[in-house]
Amino acid sequence: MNAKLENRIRVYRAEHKMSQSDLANEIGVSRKTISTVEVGRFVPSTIIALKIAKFFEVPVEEIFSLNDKED
Amino acid sequence: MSNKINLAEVADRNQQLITLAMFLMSLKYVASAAAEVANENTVYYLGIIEIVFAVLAVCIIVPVIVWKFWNLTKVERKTYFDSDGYFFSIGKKAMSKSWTITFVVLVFFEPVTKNFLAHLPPRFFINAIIAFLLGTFSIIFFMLDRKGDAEEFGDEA
Repeated sequence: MNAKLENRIRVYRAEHKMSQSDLANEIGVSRKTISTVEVGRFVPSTIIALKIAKFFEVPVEEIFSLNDKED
Repeated sequence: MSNKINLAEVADRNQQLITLAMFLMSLKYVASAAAEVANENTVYYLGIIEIVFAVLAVCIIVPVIVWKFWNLTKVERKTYFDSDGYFFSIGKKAMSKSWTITFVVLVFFEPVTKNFLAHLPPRFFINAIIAFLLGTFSIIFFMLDRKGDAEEFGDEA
């Protein structure tokens, strides 16, 4: 099984009219961390995932989910 | 949105600068290794090259350590070192890959040095290994950094 972490950060950012830099400043990470998490290149730590969820005031599963379908 | 300084951004930039300094130091060690086997005239110029690269590396490192890091409060320093973002991750990857590559190269060259390079002084090998390790670390780090840039989405709000 090859699980992939998917996220909806971009959707939530758009809803809140925020840039990657704005979100990065709010949760105390760099813009590059946000951009690489968005494209699925970097799997964030639990702390970063929880900070993002807390900022958008949603459960972490609303933003992050596992896609374990085989290609 | 808030206008306060983003410490994670500062930490990323400092990590890039430190890696650049490591690359310059790898060039300095290349010159040091070459000086062990070069003739007298060339040794003079290699000595100058060593000094230039070492001074450049120090000029990059000192501002990062002294006035970028020393100006931070205790709480800010903790935040600075607690960073677990993308750059921290590629730093770890670059470290493990460069160690692995260096180890494989050493194992591969061990019989070669025994048979063909035994006459060279130990300082040559020490300088060459340090240069190789620092060089591979910094190159892998910058490659991973660029790879992150290439796959970015836009930053529109």
